[in-house]
Amino acid sequence: MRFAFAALCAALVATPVAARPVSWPGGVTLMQELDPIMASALLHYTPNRHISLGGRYLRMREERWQLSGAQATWLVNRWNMPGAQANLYVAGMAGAAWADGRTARPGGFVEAQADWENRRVMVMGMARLTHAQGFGTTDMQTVRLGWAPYAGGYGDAHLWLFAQARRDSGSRDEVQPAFVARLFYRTMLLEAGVTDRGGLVLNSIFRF
Amino acid sequence: MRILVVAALLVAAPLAAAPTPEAVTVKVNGLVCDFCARSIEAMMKKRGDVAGVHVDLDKGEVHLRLKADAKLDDPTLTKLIVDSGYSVTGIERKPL
Repeated sequence: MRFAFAALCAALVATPVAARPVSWPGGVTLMQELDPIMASALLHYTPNRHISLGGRYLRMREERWQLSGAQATWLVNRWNMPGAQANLYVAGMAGAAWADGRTARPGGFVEAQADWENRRVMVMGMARLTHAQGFGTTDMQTVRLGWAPYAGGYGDAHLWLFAQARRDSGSRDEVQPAFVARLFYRTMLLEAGVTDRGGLVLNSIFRF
Repeated sequence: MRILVVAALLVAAPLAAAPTPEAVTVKVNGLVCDFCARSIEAMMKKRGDVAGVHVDLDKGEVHLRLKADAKLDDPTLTKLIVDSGYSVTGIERKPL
């Protein structure tokens, strides 16, 4: 319960919604996110259980600029409990930012993410600070509260339902609540949802 | 009679020493998510001496079927589970 509270606090002060941004040693993961604020793709490799390294492409859809570069994600700590797990991650990305017709400039972000889950309830929070020369600095926070209608067994298809809120200082519509459904089977995870203004949320993760 | 006893011993000795396949139950903390628990299967499949893996999310247990010639001792097994992202609280072995 302490960890759930800590994760919730982290979310409130500051998340994406990526499930486990560090995989197993030797694992390769492709993650994609789309919502009205941004579109993003991350391909990463996990050399050990604490770190993943990869490349990310990020498009700020409302601000109309793009960011691409190398990303490292560090699993700062994992709390394994009987019937529950909590995680704290920190990530950094550095690369080039550009808009159509403009010269690429240095850019990147730093990010913290925390989560707590048991078989039926999940709390996630993420905060990101993005800076790009010529485009300024923006901050984004995401918080999620999830519920599984049933506790699926190993090898079953699993369903989670999330209430999500995302705020981006660079977005005109600053806070975007959304309802998101997550379905995963084995190493494939798909999410589809809708924001309060009818915007599409579409995320996926594939592990290899 | 003595020849029969010696012959029986000669036949039985290799059989008694022959390795038998094992079933291993690993009790694990943090095992709540199927998507994440795939890491355990991925790590175990890297080893040639693991014949089968099953995860029981309800009980928080990993069930392994080891081959007869398996050399997967408890410290190695614990490291594999920890590298998969979980904490080991107990290991039980029994012959199949």
